Parts: sequence; C-alpha cells; structure tokens
Amino acid sequence: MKKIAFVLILVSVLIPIHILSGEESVKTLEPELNDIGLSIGQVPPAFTLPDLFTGEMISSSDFRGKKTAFFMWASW
Amino acid sequence: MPGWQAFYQEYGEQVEVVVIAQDAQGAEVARPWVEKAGGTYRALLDQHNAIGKAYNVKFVPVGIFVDEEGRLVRAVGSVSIDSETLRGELVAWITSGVVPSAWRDADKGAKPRVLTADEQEADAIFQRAIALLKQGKREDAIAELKRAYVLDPKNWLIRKQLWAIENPGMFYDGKVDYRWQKEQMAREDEELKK
Repeated sequence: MKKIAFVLILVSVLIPIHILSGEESVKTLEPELNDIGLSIGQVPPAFTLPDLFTGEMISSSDFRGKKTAFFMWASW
Repeated sequence: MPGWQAFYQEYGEQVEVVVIAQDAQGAEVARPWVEKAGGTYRALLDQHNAIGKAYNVKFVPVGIFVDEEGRLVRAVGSVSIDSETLRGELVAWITSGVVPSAWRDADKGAKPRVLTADEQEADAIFQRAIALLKQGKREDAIAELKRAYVLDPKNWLIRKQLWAIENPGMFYDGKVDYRWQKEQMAREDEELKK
C-alpha cells in the first residue's frame, strides 16, 4: 500500500510539471504570426548578416536562383 | 535544429536552408546548438534584431520561405520542421513549385508597416543594451532591457532575451524552464498594469 501511495503522490506531482513544461505553455508565450507585414509574392526586405561560424557577411540576395527556407530561431 | 539538418540532407539540392540565430548575446550562445545538431546548412547570426525590425517579427521560431526570385511564399510562426503538415507542404512546394493552397489560404495580404514610436524607442534601448553587453557591462545592459520591454511588452525578442541574460540558469542549464517563464510573464504583466 505504501508503495502505491508513494507512486500516486509522485504521479500527482509530476503531472502538473509535465503539463506546464509542455508545448502548451510555449504557445502562450509565442503567438501565431499575424502581423508580419508581408504577403505572398512580395519580396521581403533584404538583409545582410554574418555567418555564425566564419563571420563572413551573407546577404538574403545571395540565395537568388534557388528556393530558400529561412528559419529564425534562438538559443533562449 | 536536428530536424532542419535531416530535411537539408534530403532536400538540400532543391532548397537552401538558412537558419538565423536571434541572439543578442552573440555567436557563442548560438553555435553549440548548431554544432550539436551537426548542422551543415548555412547558419547566420542576427545579434541586433535586424530581421525582427524589418519583418515586424517579435518572437521565434519563424519560417520565411522564398522562391527563386526571392518572393515570399510563406511566413509562418511557431514553426517546426518536425511537424508533418509543414514538412509535407514544404516538400510539395519544393518539388512542384506550386504554392500549397493552405499557404494561400493563410496569407493575409498584409502590407509593411512602420514601427510605432514606442517600438522604435524600445529598439533604440535594445541596441544600447547590446553595446553594453559587448563591453561586458551586463548589469547596465539588464537595466536598459528592463526599460525596453516595458515600451514593447509583446516583443519577445526583447523580453525573453532579458530573461535569458538576467537568469541564464533558466535557459542554459539543460532543459528550458517553461514553468518559470510563465511565472515570470505573470509577474511582469502585473508590473505592467501599474
């Protein structure tokens, strides 16, 4: 019985933590993209940024001629 | 990030993959994630929130997909390449060149807009904070960021970076603590009401 009670307590403690640390909470912090100010067919503003490893400057226009998927992410 | 690497290995002939780290703290905090993913795609650093400002984007992750002429076909937030739906749409587009109907339906026909005065001020303070960080003046940078987020509280590129810089233990020691983030958001929202 003691063992079952312990497991139950453990489960009841773990469930809320699991729910809170799940994808649900991420979405509340990061809303849907609704106001980007861009539409299909428009050319987005150009940018030039350093390569993360070499520091070489790369422009968005360098990828012309090939379909490109830009993925914005962060360490945080 | 590993998901993008797998995707790039499979479809890199047909589509360029460019991952852009939105990290005010610089390359050192971002590199390990790409290295861990074994990323061979192009990785860039946006330390000054250049894309956020130009594209009016206030959070990550975001996917911006453009065709051969650099024209937008899809801008999508909370994006994951591990999503079967997104991956399916992407593959359909790169193999056929036809923009998926779901992307057309989601297109809002939005027009570029200029930053509001508060957003501009928040950005100016954010840029000062980055300069201070580069000089090793972490406490001063945190003080500036605390002024910046109040002006643009929905801008998570400012607000969550403040959290990460002030509380690195909640972000960089193993798993990111989302429960702490929720609590922090609630605390700040209370302050913002005052």
